Amino acid sequence: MKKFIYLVLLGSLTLVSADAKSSAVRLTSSSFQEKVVVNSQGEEQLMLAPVSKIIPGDIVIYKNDIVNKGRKTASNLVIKNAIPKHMEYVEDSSLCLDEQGCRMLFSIDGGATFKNRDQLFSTNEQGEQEVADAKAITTIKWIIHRLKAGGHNQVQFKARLK
Amino acid sequence: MKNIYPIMAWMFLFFHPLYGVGVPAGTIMKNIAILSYTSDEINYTRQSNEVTDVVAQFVDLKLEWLDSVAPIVESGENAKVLTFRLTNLGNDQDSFALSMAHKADSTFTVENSKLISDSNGNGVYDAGIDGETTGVTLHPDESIILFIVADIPELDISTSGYANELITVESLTDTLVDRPLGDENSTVVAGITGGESSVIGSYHSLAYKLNMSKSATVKNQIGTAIPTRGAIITYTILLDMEGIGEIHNIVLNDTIPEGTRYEVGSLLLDGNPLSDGLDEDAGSFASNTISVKIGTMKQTASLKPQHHVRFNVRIQ
Repeated sequence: MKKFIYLVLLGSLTLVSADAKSSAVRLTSSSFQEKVVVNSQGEEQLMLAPVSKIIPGDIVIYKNDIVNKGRKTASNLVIKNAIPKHMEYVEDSSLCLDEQGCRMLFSIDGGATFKNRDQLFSTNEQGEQEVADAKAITTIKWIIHRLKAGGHNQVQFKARLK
Repeated sequence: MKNIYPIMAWMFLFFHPLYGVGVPAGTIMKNIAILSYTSDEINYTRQSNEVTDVVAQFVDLKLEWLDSVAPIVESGENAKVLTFRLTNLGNDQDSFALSMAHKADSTFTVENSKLISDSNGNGVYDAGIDGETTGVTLHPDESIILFIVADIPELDISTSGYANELITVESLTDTLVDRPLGDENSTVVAGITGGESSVIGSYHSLAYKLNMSKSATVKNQIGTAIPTRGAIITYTILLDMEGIGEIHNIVLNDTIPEGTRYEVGSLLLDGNPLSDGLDEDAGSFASNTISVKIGTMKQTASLKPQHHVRFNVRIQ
């Protein structure tokens, strides 16, 4: 039986806040690819590694780490992430590391409006309304109810290079 | 807490879609997230760092033999063509080395074979226009037609069969590596073909062929064979086969020679008269040409079919 163990190369993370001085809550983005490696026991392991060679068809995992460096609880945290140009969202890949108090919404109009995934409709060639294809998603929004001082959460999604 | 890396995620590594047309190599992918929140009744908006990733070069190709069946060739024919298509499935411009070889399992060997590119892009070999090649450069998803052009040697029934010609294409892009366990220092990813592909095209020399011979006799008004004005020329065309096999849809057409006129009602097939009209029988005369539908000829070890077509013309 092959064992897959997920490893995160923490060394690849560049924890640089866009505005560390004035903000108590820091947001750090990073990108990864899943790769199979063989460990010393000859077992295959699935690990996350920094993006090194991305080619059409590849899937990239985008992570956003949210860390509250302040002394007070932050509330109503909203993280918006547009699907990068030339990429398309991978269905069911959006999630929160800590699901409690975390809600996900999606947009197919560039972030103008957001809805639950199953309430996102588009019009097909026959003029009928149907649940929008994952490829139509342009932006993801995560709403985190609160983040205590010293707390950490992470949101992420996968996108495929066209 | 939810497992954020579903175990099934490994499957994508074994089901990796390949795109002929994709985002070009060197494209910079950027990602930025935006955060807004409230703390101590103050609203904040913050932007993440910018994540940038560069699209790597993906090398792959497709090489196809386009002839639906091996072209039928006959002894001594020149400039017989096999047609191939090379497509760059990578996401960057790539140069490919081309070569060809004659396969040892062939039953006959072609002569003066040349590897030629379709210079004018019309998909058809044009002698004197399309030139010999040893390499091509293609943009992503661009295709080029390639030809092997060769002469057929003198063959007899015993040497009939197939001449198999191998064409090989190799990407000239360096540092190809297998993914995902390849050299991480390489900036190039090799596709399924590994940047190299070969395909075989074949010529087919039949183990049988149709022979046709034509003879003429002249008879003038005084009963001699001198071709004077008003003399009748009787043409006889003999059709038979060499080897064992079956040939279908045989139609004989022969244009009446200049300076002569077809003698109405003179057309015969195997001694039986045929009408000149375009009707249900096998013969016709139209546009100064006689036409006879022979149909199928099948020769076996014991069956040696022959057909004779005969018609008369008068010298004008």
